[in-house]
Amino acid sequence: MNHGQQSSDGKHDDDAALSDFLASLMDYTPTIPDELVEHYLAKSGFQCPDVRLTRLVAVATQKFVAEVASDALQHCKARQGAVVKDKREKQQKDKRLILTMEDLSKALRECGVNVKHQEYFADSPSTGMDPASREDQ
Amino acid sequence: MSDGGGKNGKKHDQPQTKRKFGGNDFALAISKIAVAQICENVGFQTFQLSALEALSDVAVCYILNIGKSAHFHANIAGRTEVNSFDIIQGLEELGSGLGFACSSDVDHCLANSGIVREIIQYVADSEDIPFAYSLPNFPVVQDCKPAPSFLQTGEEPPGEHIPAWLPSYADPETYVQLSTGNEKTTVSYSERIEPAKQLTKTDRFLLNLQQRFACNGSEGPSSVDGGDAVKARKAAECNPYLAAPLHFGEKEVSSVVLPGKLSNEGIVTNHVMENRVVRNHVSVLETFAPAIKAMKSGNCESEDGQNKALLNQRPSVHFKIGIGKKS
Repeated sequence: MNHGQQSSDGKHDDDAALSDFLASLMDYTPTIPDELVEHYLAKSGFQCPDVRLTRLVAVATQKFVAEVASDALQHCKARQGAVVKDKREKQQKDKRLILTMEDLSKALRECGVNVKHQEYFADSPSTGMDPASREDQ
Repeated sequence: MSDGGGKNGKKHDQPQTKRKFGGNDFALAISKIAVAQICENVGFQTFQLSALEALSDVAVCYILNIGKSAHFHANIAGRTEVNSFDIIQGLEELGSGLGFACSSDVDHCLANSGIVREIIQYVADSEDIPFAYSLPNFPVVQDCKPAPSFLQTGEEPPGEHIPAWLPSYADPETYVQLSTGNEKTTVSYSERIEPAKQLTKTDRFLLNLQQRFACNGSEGPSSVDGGDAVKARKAAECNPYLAAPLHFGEKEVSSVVLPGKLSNEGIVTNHVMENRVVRNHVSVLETFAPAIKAMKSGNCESEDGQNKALLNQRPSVHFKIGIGKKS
């Protein structure tokens, strides 16, 4: 019985923590706006009039995007650190952190999302061929 | 993705057509802005457009997946409305690939889940950055008024089999066409093309064609009997396809002059009727030969006299056979 009482008290604490957190979400404004989240949740069949749950989903998505972005940032910084050049100009230019497709695809692969993009686009069948053979066509 | 390659080397006769905006573009644009703000907070200074689009697509998919799995868990529990525990279960499903604290505990309370603790920690650590713009509620749903029923309009339904609560019929003027004569249709067509003020070749050709059919229709049905004659004439006047077929010998038709030399004759200028035929196949061009001649002469003002002249004579067809350029 004691064990049961303790566990029920523990559950009560957990519930209280969760409800407190949901209440605190009303003070915190997530970067992803409520209207956007409501639109996409309605598209997927989600039905709930409670704003706190919408905020919970928004915060969870924001956390996910931030994690992916920080992973990509680490890849970007690692790539810049590996490039050791004598020219100072290039080093100063490389200080700008750019979100590239390469870093993003590496970061997303860990989450299980496969994002591959084209290396290059060819506009005609003879692109990339020798000029001599191209003239024949 | 637009960033992928260099410039397109193809020659474009027209500028690239504008991308038509679908219903989802507004939401995608907002998600791009929100994701850009998050990335900026993380530390990025600039973005590749394709990378930003990819990440915002992934974020939208994430939201959709949370909604789907939360809805699924609510349905399994016998509810239609979602509560917080459904969302936490959905998040646990999505996060199970990467793993979270205490993910292997089977009996834990959902409120104490590792996912929730991580989110609480994230909210406590991160800055509060609101969205850059204020948004209206979207999508905007337009109220569509349904058509009034027979009861509402006060009409009696035209038949015992039609219940009164069904929507009433539309105004008869909107669908009856037989009352309007032939003149009205041709006038409406010319009225339509006049404001454009530039009669293109195609327009002139079509106008000639319509008036030719009108003349044909008025001469046509002589063998229809009784009271239907008036109706048939009326129908034939406005729709040439409803005209009764001509009997043999009813109308004088000039004999067809087959073109002798097919290679050295003149050119058919009408781009609509371009034909590259090797045999003496003139049946299609024969019909439109007068119109083609009208196009060549380029005289559209004296249309009535022209029509009479065209109907009596059928000039020989000139067309050029050549090897088309294959680009």
